[in-house]
Amino acid sequence: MTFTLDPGELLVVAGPNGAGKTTLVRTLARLSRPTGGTIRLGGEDWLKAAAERQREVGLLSHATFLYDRLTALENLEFYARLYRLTGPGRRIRQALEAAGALDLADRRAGTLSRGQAQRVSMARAILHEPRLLLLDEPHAGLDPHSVRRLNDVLADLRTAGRAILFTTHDLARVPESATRFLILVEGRVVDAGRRDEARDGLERRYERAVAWIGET
Amino acid sequence: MSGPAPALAILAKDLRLELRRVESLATMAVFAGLVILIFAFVGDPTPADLARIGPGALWASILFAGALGFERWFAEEERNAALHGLLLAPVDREILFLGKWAGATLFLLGLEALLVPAAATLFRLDLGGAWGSFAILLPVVTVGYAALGTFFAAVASRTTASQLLLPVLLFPLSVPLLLAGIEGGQALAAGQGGEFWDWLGLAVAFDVLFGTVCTVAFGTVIEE
Repeated sequence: MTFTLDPGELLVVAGPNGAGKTTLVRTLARLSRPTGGTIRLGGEDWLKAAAERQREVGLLSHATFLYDRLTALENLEFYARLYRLTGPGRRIRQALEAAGALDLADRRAGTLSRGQAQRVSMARAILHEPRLLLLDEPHAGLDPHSVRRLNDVLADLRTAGRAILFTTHDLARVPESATRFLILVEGRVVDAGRRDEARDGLERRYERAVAWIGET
Repeated sequence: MSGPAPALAILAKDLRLELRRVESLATMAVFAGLVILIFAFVGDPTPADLARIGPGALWASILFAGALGFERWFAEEERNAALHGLLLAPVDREILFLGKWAGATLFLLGLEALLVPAAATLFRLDLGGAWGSFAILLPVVTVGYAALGTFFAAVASRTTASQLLLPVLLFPLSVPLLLAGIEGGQALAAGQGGEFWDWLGLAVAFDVLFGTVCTVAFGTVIEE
């Protein structure tokens, strides 16, 4: 598959289970090594870039990457030290505020509800102000209120110029701020376009693409 | 390289987590204490027998209790996929390993601080003026064992049978270290200083070799 993602864009990657969405995100985050192909980030070969450049990427998935026995604040302090952030106190507060999780700072991660933990995890993902934010089915297990809240945060981040890639199999929960879409089936891009062009027909195009692949 | 700060952050985080999970260290200490007790009461040993088997009992208890600890310490990284959080950071894999290795070494040394007095009392270990030498042997063997344990806990965590796989991988490769610990301790008890230094040398060589190999190979085994 070939695609580009520019700053200020929110690209929705939709596809059924097994389409390769998680593999795509893990490869972009350098958690998995691809068997072939190239990825360029800011013009540089991303797969050969130094570990230091990893700070340009943030990842939010259905797993929170939080330590249950640490508070939300302690989790973020740990990640701030790991990323060697300057002014960590201010950055942590900003991230918690942006993710709507400031009131959760002193709660242990293991005591948070799914939606609360996901908000803290969002703060973790944006703490180091990455240029590229990857979201792998971030709505999994969230109630409608938490979904709306997360989508609001994404809209703010997109406006702030972040490049965002968002995977989902549930088109009803695609953020309104999405700018482009890409439909992935069995590791192949079968449809792609601008979100506003498909505003009323995205679900139909998705169903058609999945059905077409099923027939071939 | 990323510098030592991220390794220190991992070490501090692991210590904080462990302090909030005292049952883990307590379970290891009880388990290790039972191993020592069994050795001390098997076959109605004479005082001479006790002094001879004491170092072996001590190291056997550390070996088994350590294996329990390694699996649990790494399981903390598997919960909520926290390991991915580490791998996403702008930190070289080698530095991540050094942080985990340092934490495991400190935990083992903490355990040994409880076990050594217990073993010395039960086995009436009288090293006389050689306790200083023993205080060198103990951390040297511990460092090597912690390197292997941390590495194989990472390897085992990538499989579905980590609890079974860890001891199978860890124990055979730990034999040289175990021998160095036991024989070095017995040499000290027997007043054979020259032999002690040979065993200490073996332990140091083991630390350098396996510490390097595990540090370098960690990035490969941890990737998917």
